[in-house]
Amino acid sequence: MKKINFKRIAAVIYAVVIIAMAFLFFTNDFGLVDIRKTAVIIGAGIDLTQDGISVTAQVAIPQPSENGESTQYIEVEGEGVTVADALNEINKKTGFYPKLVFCKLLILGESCREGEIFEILDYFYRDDYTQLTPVIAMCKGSAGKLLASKMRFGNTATVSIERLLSDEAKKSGNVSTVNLKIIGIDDNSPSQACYMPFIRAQSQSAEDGSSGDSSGSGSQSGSSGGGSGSSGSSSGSSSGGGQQGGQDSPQEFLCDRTAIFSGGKFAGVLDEEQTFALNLLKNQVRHIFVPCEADGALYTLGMRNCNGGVSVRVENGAPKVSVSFSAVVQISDVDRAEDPQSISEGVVPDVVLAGGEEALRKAFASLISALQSSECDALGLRTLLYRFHYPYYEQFKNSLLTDAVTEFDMSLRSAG
Amino acid sequence: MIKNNLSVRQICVIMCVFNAAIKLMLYPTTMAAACGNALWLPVVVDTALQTACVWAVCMLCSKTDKTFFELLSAAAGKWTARIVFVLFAIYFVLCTVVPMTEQQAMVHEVFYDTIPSLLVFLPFFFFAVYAGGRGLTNAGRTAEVCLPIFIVTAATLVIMGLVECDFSALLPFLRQPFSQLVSGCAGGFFRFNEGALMLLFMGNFKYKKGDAAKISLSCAIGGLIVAAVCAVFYAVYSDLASQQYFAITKISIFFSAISLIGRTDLIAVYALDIAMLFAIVLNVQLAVYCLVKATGRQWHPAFTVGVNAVLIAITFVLNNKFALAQVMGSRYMGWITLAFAYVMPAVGWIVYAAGGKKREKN
Repeated sequence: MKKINFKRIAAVIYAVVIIAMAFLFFTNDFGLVDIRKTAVIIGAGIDLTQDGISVTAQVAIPQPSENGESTQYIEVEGEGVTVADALNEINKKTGFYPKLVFCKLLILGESCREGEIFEILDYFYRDDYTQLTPVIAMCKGSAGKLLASKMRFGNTATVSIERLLSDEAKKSGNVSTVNLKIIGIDDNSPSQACYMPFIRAQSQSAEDGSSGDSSGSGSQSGSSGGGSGSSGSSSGSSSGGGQQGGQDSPQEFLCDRTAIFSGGKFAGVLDEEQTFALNLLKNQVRHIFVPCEADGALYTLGMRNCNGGVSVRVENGAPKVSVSFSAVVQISDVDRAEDPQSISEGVVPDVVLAGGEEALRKAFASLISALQSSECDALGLRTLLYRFHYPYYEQFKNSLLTDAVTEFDMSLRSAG
Repeated sequence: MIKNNLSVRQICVIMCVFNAAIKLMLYPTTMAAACGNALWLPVVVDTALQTACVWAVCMLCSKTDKTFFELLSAAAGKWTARIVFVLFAIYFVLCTVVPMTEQQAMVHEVFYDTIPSLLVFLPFFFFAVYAGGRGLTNAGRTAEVCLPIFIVTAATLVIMGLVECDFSALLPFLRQPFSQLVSGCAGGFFRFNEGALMLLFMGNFKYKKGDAAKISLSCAIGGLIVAAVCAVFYAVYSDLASQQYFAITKISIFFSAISLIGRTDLIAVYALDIAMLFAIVLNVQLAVYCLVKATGRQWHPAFTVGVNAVLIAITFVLNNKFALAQVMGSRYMGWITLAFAYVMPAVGWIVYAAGGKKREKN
C-alpha cells in the first residue's frame, strides 16, 4: 500500500491557506459592504457660514436593482467648524459614511473669498483616503445651491460641471481646469499664487432675457454670461446669501472666467479674454479659435500646434519677462464671401496673421496688466526666477511682477 | 567549502530588485520632507557608500570560499561567531520592522477606502512564516521570479506618472543647506544594508572573476532606480511630495485614462507589492539563516515561527503608529546599520587576515 506523504499534504494545505489569505490581504472582499449604507460623494460644495463651514455633498447612493436606474443622487448638507467636522455631521444626519475616494469635483462658494482657501481645503491635503485629483472651481453665489441646481441637460450639477471642466475643454483653451494638486503646488511655490475656474450659472429664463446670472447670489446683478466686460480685479461682491430666481428653472453653467488667488486669498476674477490668455500660457492647448480683425473684415482663426509659454531672464541686471506663442493658423470663418480658389488653397494672408498676432498680444497684455493690478503671480514668474535664475531670486522676487519689462513674441504660420 | 545555495545572477537580482523594492514605500516621502527637491541626493550618496561595502565584501569572496561564520570561527572561535550571528539575527529582525509597518500602512491606505482592522495584515505572517523557513536558495529563486514583475510594474507606474511630471521642480540644483543634505543622508542611512546582506551571502555562491563588478553594479542600479523614482515623484508632486505617503502608488493617479476607467494602476501596484513582500521577507529568511548558523541546528520551522512571533508582537505594539517606527528607525537604526553593514565588512577582512596568519603559523 502506498504510504501517505503527510509532509507533502501539509505543504499543499499551507499553500492553499496562504493563497486564500492573500485575497484577504489584497482585497476587501471579506469585509463585505452593505451598499444600502454606502454613500459615494461625487462632488462637494463648500461655503463659509457665520458659524464655520458648510459642506454640501452630492451623493451617489447605489441601489440594489436588477434593471433600470441603479443610482440615486441626493444633496446632503453638513455644518461644522472645519470640513471634517461638517462631513462628520453628514454622517450623523444620514447614517452614511461619506467616502471621498470618488469625489471628482470641489466647488468653493463665493463666500470663500473672505477666507484663506487652504485653511478651508486643509482636510483634503491631510486625509489619507482622499486623492488630490478632484477638479476644483469657485462659483458665484452659494456652492451648495449650485450643486442642487436642476440642470438643463438632464444631468446632476456635478456631472455637468465635470464635463465643462474636462481635459478636452482644457485643451480648447476655454477653461482653466485645475485640480487640488495643481493649486496646492502653485500656492506652495515661490509665486504663492493659484487660480481656478469661476463658474456662473445661467437659468434658461436668463437666456430668454428675463434675468441675469442666477447662481444664488441675491445681491449680484448685471454681468450676464457671455459678456466680456469684467475687469481683472475682483468683480462685484456677494455674500453668497439668498437664492433668487433660477433654482427651479433649468440651469446651464459658464466656466469661462478664472478666479485668482494670492497667498491663498482671493485676488480677483479674470474675464474671458484674460482667462483665454492664461490658458494659452499655462496649459497644453491643442485647437483654439481666435477672433481678430484684419483688412476690414472679422476673421475667426483656427489654430493648431499651439505652443505658448512664459519665461523669465535677467539681462543687464534687470529682469525681463518673455511671453511667446506660436501656432499654425487656418481661417475658420470670415464675415464676408471669399473666393473659392483662395479657400481651397488655405493660405492665410500676412495681414490676417498680423491681425491674429495683434489679438493675442492684446489678450496677453490684458492678462499681465490684470495680474499686476491684483498683485497675483498666477503665471508663476517668481517660481521661474527661483528655478532658473536662483542667484537673482532674492534681488528681484518682490519687484518682478510689477517692474519687469514684458516682451511678446508671437509667431503665427499659415497652414496652407 | 562553497555551498551553492545561490548563483551570482540571483545575488545580482537580490541586490538590484529587492533593495529597490523595499525602498519605494515611504522612503521617497521622508527624503522629500528632509531634503526638498534634492531628495534624490541622499539616495545616491547612501547607495554609493553601500555599493563600496558590497564591493569590499565581494573582493573578500574572491580571496576565500568560506562563509563569514566560518571565517569568524577560524579567527575568533566558534562562540564568538555564534554570538555575532545571534546579533545579526536580531539586526535583521529590526531591519524588518520599518518596512513591515510601512507595508501594513500602505496596504491599509491604498487597497482599502477606510481604515481596516489590524487583523487584515496578519496573512502577511502566514506568508512570512512559510517563506522565512525556506533558506537562502528560496530567496534567490523568488528574487528571479520577482525580477520581471518588478521591472514591468515599476516601469508602468513611472511611465503613467511621466505625463504629470514637471522636472523643473527639481531646480534649483542643490541649493539646500549642507546640513539639511547631511541630515537627509543620515535619516535614510538605516535603509541601506546591502553590505550586511552580502556578508551573509559570502561562501554561499561560487565566486568567479568579474563577479564583484557585476554584484556591485547591480547594487548601484538598484539605488539609481530608487533615485529615479524619487525624482519622478518630486516632479509630479513638487512641494506637496512630503505630504504624499507611499510614493510609488501615488505617481500614477493623474494618468488621464484612470479618470475614465478607474484605478487600473492598482493592478501594477498589487503586482509590485508582491516584490515588496518578498523583499521584506528576505530579512526574515536571513534572520532564520543566522539563527541556524548560531545554534548549529537545522530548526528552520521553529526559528521562522519564533522570528515571526516577535514581528507579530511588534506589529500589535506599533498598531497604526508607523510614523513612530520611522522616527525610531531614523534615530537609532542608523547606528546599528553602521555597525552591521559598514563595520562588519571591515571585520570580515580583519578576521580573514587574522585567519591567514593563523594558517601561516600552523
